[in-house]
Amino acid sequence: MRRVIIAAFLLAVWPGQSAFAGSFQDANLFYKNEQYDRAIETYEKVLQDGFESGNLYYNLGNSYFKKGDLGRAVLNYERAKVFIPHDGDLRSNHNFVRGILNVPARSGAEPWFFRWLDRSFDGFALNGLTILVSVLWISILVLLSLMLWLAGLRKTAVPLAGILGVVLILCSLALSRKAGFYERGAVVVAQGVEAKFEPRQEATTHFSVPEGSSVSVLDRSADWAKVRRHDAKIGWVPAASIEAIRR
Amino acid sequence: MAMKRILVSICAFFLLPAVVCCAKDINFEATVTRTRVAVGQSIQLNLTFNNTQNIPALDLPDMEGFVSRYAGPSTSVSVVNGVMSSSITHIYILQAVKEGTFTLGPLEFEKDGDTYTSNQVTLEVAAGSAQSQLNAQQQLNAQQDRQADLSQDISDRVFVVLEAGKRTMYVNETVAITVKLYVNRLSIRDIQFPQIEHEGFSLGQFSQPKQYQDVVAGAAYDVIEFNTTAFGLKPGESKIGPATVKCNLIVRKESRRRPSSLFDDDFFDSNVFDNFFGRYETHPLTLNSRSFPVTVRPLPQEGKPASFTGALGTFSFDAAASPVDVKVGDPVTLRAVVKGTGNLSTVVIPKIEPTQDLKTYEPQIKQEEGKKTFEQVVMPMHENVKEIPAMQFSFFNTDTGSYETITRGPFAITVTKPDREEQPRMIEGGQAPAAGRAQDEKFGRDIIFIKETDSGWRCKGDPLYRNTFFWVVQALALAAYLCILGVYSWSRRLRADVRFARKLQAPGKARRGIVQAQKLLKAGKRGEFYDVIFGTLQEYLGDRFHLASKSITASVVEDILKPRNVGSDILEKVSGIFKDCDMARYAPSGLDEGRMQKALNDLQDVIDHLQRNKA
Repeated sequence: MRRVIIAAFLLAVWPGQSAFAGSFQDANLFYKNEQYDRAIETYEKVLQDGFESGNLYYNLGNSYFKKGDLGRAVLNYERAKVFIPHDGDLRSNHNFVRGILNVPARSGAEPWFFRWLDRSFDGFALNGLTILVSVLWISILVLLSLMLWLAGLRKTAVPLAGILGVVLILCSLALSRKAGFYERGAVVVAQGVEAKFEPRQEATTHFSVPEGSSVSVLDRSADWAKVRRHDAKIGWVPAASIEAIRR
Repeated sequence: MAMKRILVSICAFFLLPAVVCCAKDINFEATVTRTRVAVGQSIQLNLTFNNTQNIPALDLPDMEGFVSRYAGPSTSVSVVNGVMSSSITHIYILQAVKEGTFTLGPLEFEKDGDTYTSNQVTLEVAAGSAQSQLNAQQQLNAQQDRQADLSQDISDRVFVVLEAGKRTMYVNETVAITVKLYVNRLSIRDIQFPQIEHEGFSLGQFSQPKQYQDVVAGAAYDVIEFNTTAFGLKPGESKIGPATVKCNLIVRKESRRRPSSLFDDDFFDSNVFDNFFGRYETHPLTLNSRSFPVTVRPLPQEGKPASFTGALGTFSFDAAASPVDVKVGDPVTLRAVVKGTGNLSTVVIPKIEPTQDLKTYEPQIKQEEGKKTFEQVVMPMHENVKEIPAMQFSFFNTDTGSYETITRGPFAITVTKPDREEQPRMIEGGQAPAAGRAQDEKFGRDIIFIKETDSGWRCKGDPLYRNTFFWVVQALALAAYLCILGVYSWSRRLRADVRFARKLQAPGKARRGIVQAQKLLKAGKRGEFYDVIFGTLQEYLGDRFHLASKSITASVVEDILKPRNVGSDILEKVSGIFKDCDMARYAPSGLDEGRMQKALNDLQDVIDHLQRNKA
C-alpha cells in the first residue's frame, strides 16, 4: 500500500516540477537575450502554476529593472527577501535600485529598538524565523520538564531557560514585525503618487510616496487604499498605484 | 607748495580713516569729565568706540540745556599679550546754558547696517553767575550762526554731482550711475559711500572709488568718483537723486593770536601734524547733489520673439557640443556663452528638454564680468540619435531698440552602440556628472546578474505561521509540559503527604477487599471471609481517618466515628460487622450465608457512606 502511495505522489508531482523548472530556464534565456518582456511573462507563468522561490522573484526583479519598471523591481526584491533575505546579490540589487529611486529605509523613522531588531533579524527568512521560534519554544518546555525530574540539572538549566526565553521574546517580536510587513506591506509601483487626506482625486494632498517606497496598507476600498508611510503618516492613494508584497 | 597740499589732502582723505578696523564687536560708550556743572561752564563729552578706529564723528542731536562743539578725535592702539585692541574717541565740548537735570542719550550710531547704542549720562546743571549765563547764551547763538554760514561759505569749494549714463531707458536696462565729490583746497576726511534716492529703480553696489583731478570753471578740484549701475523696475516718469555724501571737514581753530578767515590759504604752511592735532577741529558735513528726471520706457510688444525671457543689452551668443563622437549613454556637454553689455542677471537660455532620445540634466550656470556661461549635460539613449536640438537666445538690443534672436545648432553627433561589457552600465544621481568624472563613475554601478538555478522551490501558499498544524504542535507541546508538571506535582504530594495518600488509597483498597470477600462468600469459606471483612473495614477506617489500622476494634470504633458526625445507623452497621467478625472467631456456627451477605452489604454501605460524606 505504501509503495502505491509513493508512486502516485511521484507521478503527480514530478512532471509538474520539471515543467516549471523548464519554464524558469526558458525565462532565464529570454533575459539573457534581452527579451525582458518575454522573460517577465514566463516567470509570471511559473508563479501562476503555483510555484515560487526566492531566486524566481529575484530574477523577476532584475527583469523589471531592465525593462525600466523600477517600482516593480523593488516589489519583487521585497518578495524575494521573504525567502532569501541573506542573499548578497539580492541585497546589492535591492539597495542599488532603492538608491536610484532615492527611497528611504523602511524603518528609518522608527524607535531605535525596532530598527535594531529589524537589522538583527534581517537575514532570517519568514519561515526560517517561524521555525526558530518554534524550536526555541519547544526547547524551553523540554528544559523545564527535565528540570522537574533531574534536580542536578536545575543549577545550569534555570539561567539557560532564562536566556532562551529572552531570545524567544526577541525572535517572536521580529517574527511579528516581519509577518506584519508581509501581510500588510505594499510597494508603490507608479511614479508621482500623492497620498490624499480623503479617498478622492480632488482631495488635498497630504504627502508624496516615491516609486519603489514601501507602505503598510491599512484599509482598501474599490479604487483607493489607505496607507501608512515609514514616518507613520497616513493617507489614501489610488489602489492601482501600489502592489501588495504578499501575492 | 601745490604738491604738498595735494599730498596732505590725500593723507587727510584716506590715511587717517584707513586705520585697521577689527571685525570684533564694536562697543559704544559715552562718558563725561564731570556730572555736575554750573550754567556757563563747560564739560567734556567723550564718545568712545572700542575695537575700531573707523568711525566718523557723530552729529550730536540738539540737547536741551547745552551747546555742543566737536573738539576732535583721539585714537589709541594697545597690544596686551599679543592681542591688539584699538579705539577711537570723539571729543565734544558741552557748555551748560540752562539750569536743571538733563539726561544725555542713549545715543545711536549706524554703520554698515548695524546700529550701536551708547549708555545714558545724567548731568546736573546748577545756577551760575549772571555773566557766565550771558556768555553761554552768546556762545549758543554764535555756534548756530557759524554752522549756518559754513555750508554757504564752502558750497563752491566742496560739492557733489550725480550723473547717469542715460536719461531715457527701457525697463530693466542697466544704466551707469556716477557720483563725483569735488573738493577745492579743503581738508575732507571720513568720506562715506553716497546714498542715492532711487524710488522705482534697483541700485547696484558701488565699486572702489576713483580719485583724480579736474578743472571746473577755471578752478582745480580733487575729485572722488563713485560708480554703480541702476535699472528701472517699472515704466513711467521718475527721478534719480539727490545723492548724499557724508564726510568731515577739518578747519582751523579760531585764534586770538592770529585772527583770520575760516579757511586760510596758509593752511598747509605749518607743521602738518601740529596743525592737525593741535590747532584744527572737525565739522561733520552732509553734501547733497541735485536730482534729475528720467524716463523708463516699456519694452515694445511688436516683434517680441517667443523665446525672449527678458534679456536686455547688446550681446553675442555662441554654443558648441563636445564630444560629438560618443557611445550610447555617454555624456555630451553643451556649452553656451553669452557675452556683451547689459543686464546679465536677466539672461536665460532655454535648456534642452528630455526626450525619449535624450536624457538631460539641469544646466550649470556661471556668471562673470560681461559673460554668462551655461553648461548642460545630455545623454543619447540609443545609437539612432543624430543631433542635439538647436539652442535659441533672444534679447532686446537697447542700442537699436529692437528684438534679436540668435540660433546655434542643431549639433550633429555620432552615437555608436556600446561595447558588450559596458552595455548595462548606468549613470544615475541627482547631479550632472562632470565630463571628466563620468568615466570614473560609470563602472560597477549596475544590478547583479540573474540566478540561473534554483533548488528552493515550494508550492505557493500561506507561510508557516499561518498553518494550523504548526500552532497545534506548539499547543501540544505546551499541553504535554502541563501534563508532566501535573504528574510531577501529584506524585510529589503523594510522597510528601501520607495522610492524603492513605485517604486517597482507602477506597481502592476497600474495593479490592470487597471483591475478595465476594469470592470467599461464593466459595463458602466463612472464616477467611470474615477475616477479609474485618481487615478491609479496619484498614479502610485507618486510612480514611489516618489512624493505626490495628488499633481499630469494636470497642474504640464509636469513639473514633462519633466526633466525625457519622450517623447512628452507620455506627450500628460498623458495630454489627465487628460483632459478626468476633462471633466468627469464637462461635461461627451461628453465622449462615445470609448473615455473611448482610455483613458484606453493610461493609459496602459503610464505605459508600463515608466516601460520599467527607467526614
